[in-house]
Amino acid sequence: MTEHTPGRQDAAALPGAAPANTWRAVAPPRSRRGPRRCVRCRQPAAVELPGQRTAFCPPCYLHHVRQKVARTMAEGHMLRRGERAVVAVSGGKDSLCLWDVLATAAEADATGDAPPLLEAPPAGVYLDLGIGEYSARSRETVERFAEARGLPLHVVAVAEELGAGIPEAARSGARSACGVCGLSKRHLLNRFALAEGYDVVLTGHNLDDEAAVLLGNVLQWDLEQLRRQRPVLEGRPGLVRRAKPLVRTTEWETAAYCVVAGIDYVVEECPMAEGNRHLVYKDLLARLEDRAPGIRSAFHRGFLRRLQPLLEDQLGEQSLAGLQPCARCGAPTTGEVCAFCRVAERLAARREAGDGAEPLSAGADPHPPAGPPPSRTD
Amino acid sequence: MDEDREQRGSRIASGVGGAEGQGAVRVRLRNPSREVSLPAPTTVGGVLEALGLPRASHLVIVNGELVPGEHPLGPGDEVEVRPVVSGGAR
Ligand code: SF4
Ligand SMILES: [Zn+2]
Ligand SMILES: [Zn+2]
Repeated sequence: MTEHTPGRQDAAALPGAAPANTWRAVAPPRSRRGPRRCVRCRQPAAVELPGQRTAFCPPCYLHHVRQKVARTMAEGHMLRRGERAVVAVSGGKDSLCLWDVLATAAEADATGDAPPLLEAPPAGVYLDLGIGEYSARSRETVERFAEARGLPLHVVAVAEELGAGIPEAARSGARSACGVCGLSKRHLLNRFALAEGYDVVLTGHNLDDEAAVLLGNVLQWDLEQLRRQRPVLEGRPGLVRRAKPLVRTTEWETAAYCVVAGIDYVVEECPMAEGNRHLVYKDLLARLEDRAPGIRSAFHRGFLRRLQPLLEDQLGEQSLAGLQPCARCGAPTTGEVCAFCRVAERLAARREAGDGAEPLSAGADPHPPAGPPPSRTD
Repeated sequence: MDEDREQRGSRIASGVGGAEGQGAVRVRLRNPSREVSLPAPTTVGGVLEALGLPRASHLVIVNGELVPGEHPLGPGDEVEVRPVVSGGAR
């Protein structure tokens, strides 16, 4: 069930209502008795960020996140003036936070209140993964968000492109659900952006996602994956640039942003995520963060500054050399047929052999009959 | 469906609560949805500590709003502890 937040906590957060940008100032020591105060405007604080040793009132908190995202985008050259961006939205806290931040930035740009980032509020693209009730709910949430803010939304159904939704595709092959899901998202977002003429796809990957992936790659010393773990993956023929504007924002911060801004997001976890090792890494990192606030950010930032450039120097060229167009769809790939087309072919073969007895659209119907949600096993 | 959740939540709560009756803070947890009672008075930080949950991966929402860790909690408060962790390999 999505959470219906009764109202936004930043009732005073109208454009122009925020005080001057003084939040960088060091907060004086807090008296034992008084409430903790916002470092930017001295009103009582609502949101504490121990990792950054700071705290904000609701309107200043939204401002803080928006500034951080704008800085991350500018410093990473994620979007150039006049380019068209599309946001990959899932209905979760991260992508809706990102979409809201960008739409707000576009409005501020129009009034000259902020450094120019976008000329118009960006469109969103939702991938329907065909994960039963979960996907149906996610889609509804995204559609409601887009409609309320007048933002353009595109929907791509994985089942139509791949031949089956994620659960069926995972059952029929050697890959895990998240494995098939990840490669389908990359492939279909790229295909969509190419076809529609977008210059960049922005995704909601947050600092915790990146830190967990980093930990996994370090534990395995997977140098090629480490090399590719960047906030921006530049485009090249057949590949649209991909960028992660939330790479410095924790998932606690994106969830808090949604609560404060009154954004209704899907709180429930994807049912396929259970047992995923990245969740274990995230939990370990969160416990570490409680003991040493800021450690996740230092871990990830240090990697990007110190190790990733070395890997790029050493391994960058040889990786580029091996790419050629997929024999089926033309997408750049290292093999003859890309991973997405291989999964699609396997699904088609199974169906022909009468093996995959389920109908093509099993679990993919975005509007299943109303009724109570299937009981969860956790 | 919200009602469905609430009902399940309170059924579980009646079995789990460690501090029934007056002077207890009722806390609603998510994923899966359930409810526990903790002795009052406590604080936002105290709730997470008592439940053994990392602060870095949970929001504590009090009466629909975010509040600092030292915020005191009493029996009348509506408290939700919401995990913020999501996703698999992406
Ligand atoms: S948890 Fe796995 S299957 Fe679910 S949306 Fe994320 S990557 Fe896809
Ligand atoms: Zn403030
Ligand atoms: Zn292909």
